Amino acid sequence: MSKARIALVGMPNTGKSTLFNRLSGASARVGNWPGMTVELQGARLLVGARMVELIDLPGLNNLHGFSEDERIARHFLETQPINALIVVLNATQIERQLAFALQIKQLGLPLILILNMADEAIRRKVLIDRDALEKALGCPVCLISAKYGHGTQAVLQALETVLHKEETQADTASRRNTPIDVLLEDDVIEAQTTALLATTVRTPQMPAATYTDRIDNLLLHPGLGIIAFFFILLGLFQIVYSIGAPLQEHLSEALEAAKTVWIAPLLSPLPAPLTSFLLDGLYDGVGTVTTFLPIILTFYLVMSAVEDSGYMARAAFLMDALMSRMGLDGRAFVMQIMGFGCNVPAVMGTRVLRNPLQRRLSMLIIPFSLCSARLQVFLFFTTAVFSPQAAPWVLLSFYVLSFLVAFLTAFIWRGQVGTQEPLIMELPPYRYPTFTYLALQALREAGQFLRGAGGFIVAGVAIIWLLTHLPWGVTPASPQSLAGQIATLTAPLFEPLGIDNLLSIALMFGFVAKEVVVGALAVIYGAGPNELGGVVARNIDWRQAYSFMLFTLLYTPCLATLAAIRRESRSLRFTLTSIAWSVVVAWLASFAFYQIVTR
Amino acid sequence: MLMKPHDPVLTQLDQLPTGMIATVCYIEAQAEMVSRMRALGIKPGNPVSVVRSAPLSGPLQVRAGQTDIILRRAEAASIHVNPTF
Repeated sequence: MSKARIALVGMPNTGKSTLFNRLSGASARVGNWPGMTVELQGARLLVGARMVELIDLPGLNNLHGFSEDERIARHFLETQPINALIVVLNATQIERQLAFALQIKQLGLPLILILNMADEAIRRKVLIDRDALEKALGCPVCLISAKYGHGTQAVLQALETVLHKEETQADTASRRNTPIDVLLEDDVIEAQTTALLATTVRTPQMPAATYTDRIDNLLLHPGLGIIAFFFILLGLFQIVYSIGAPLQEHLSEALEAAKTVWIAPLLSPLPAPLTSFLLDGLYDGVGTVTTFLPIILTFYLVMSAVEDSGYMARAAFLMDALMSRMGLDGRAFVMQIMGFGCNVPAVMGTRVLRNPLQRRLSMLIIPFSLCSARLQVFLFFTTAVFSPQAAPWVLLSFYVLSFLVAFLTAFIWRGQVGTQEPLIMELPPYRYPTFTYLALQALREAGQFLRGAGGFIVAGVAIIWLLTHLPWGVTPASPQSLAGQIATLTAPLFEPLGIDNLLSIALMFGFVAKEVVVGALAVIYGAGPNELGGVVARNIDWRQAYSFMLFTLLYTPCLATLAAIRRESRSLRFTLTSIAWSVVVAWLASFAFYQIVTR
Repeated sequence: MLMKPHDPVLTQLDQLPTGMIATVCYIEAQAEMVSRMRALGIKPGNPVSVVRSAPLSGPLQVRAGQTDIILRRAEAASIHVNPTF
């Protein structure tokens, strides 16, 4: 028996992906499809005796829709061979969503109609006559609750029946894809829908006030809502970093221990340069980036919960007035704030922005968020160089600058986003997030990041190792090393910023990760961890220190962020633009600062 | 809902007082926008109301049937409605 391919389609917020996860369990994977420029989630499952490939298409409002997601879904439906479609509707909103099912029905493919959130529909007194609907549409109709797993067995049975019928039909011509532009006009469907609804569905005239309304009275309140928004952000931030940061530390310790106990002895027979390359270059570099995984995992879990709960749309509502002036919407603001913990997951989180140009704009400004790794550098320098009275103000100034530069960047580049994408989206009722599948998905996500970014990261750390260790025999990162020679060459560029050769070598290390900058300084100055502060204070004055920190704040955050940007934007050109922009901004800011204060 | 033919007090959705129910008359926007609105339940003949508006000329929260929608004021202005009393 041949393999069958089945696509899941539905409007946004219908729980389509929850159903996908229910049906596929752990077997889901993200893959590229021939002829498609984006990755789609797919899974294999056995239905009866037949292997079925299930594909989760992005949410679409209308087959004639204009959003990126709609284009993707339409393109898939038009070009890929499909044996049957599962259409997922939100049962509580069947009144407006049924038209979508009728539109899909015209594609002429075998169909299963899923009315999800059936439990919520009953609570809202939306009554659906399933049998009548089944008869009128001529396809199986299942009332389910994907979140709680109610009715998913019936879906599988319906799938088996439909596939069996589809296979026994000799007429393969009916399987050919119908071009979407020859489909009936929307108003014809409209009339059909109204007639069908009249006989199958009863809804209350105007929905009664719900718990969602009561919560929104507070959370969307013009004053209190904004305050609540910042408290919620703070809470999310706390959750992610109070769980993720200690894990990151433990992982880093474990990697270090594994290095000294197992890997170093194992590699000892190898020639010294090779050992150094493998250990100090690859292992340490890749290890540092790997330590981001716990944060990515917790971040992903928390963000999915926020999206599932319905709060993300509220954030868009609250912050849109500010963000729309910069060509973005309120959801980008949430990612910007999350970037203050770590830029990597924030960049990955821009996926909630469905317009690719808006996503790029958001990815361009997130690297300016002062992440916890840069904070370490700033804490070190402010304690070493500034008085205890001045230090907090110095730190605060960097937080302010971080916001300013991000918003300024968005303001400057917003023209590139083109005509502004209209903000029109559903404000879903509050729902309890489901954690069961979120955990699985978080793991999948982290694995994909490692696989996708792996090569990029290995190349990056290898280059930095070569620069600081060649020619072989010199003291690593000394002025005689390649890095030192480059620092001498670029000295005319960095001198006007007050950044000397030794500091600019540290900046090269910072390209891999800001976590290693202080460690690199220790190597460069040949000072132990306890003396480093004193050595730095003797060698550079406060102006140089501030200028160095300013540059550190603004230039490329780290290799992991770049890898994330590369992966999410799928464009090397955009990634390079992002690097160039941040380096230029960093240089200009440090230059302006140093020239003004030394005048 | 009946429309009084001698009293067509048409207004735009962004001008509609919060909490007042109105009927959508027509939408003055590009076809794509109209079809997106229609998919979300904003279409001629359907009731709509403004639940609240975000501060600083931010977007509106609009209720259309069983669905709540957020949209910017510019888009709301393209929806012409007839307030019902």
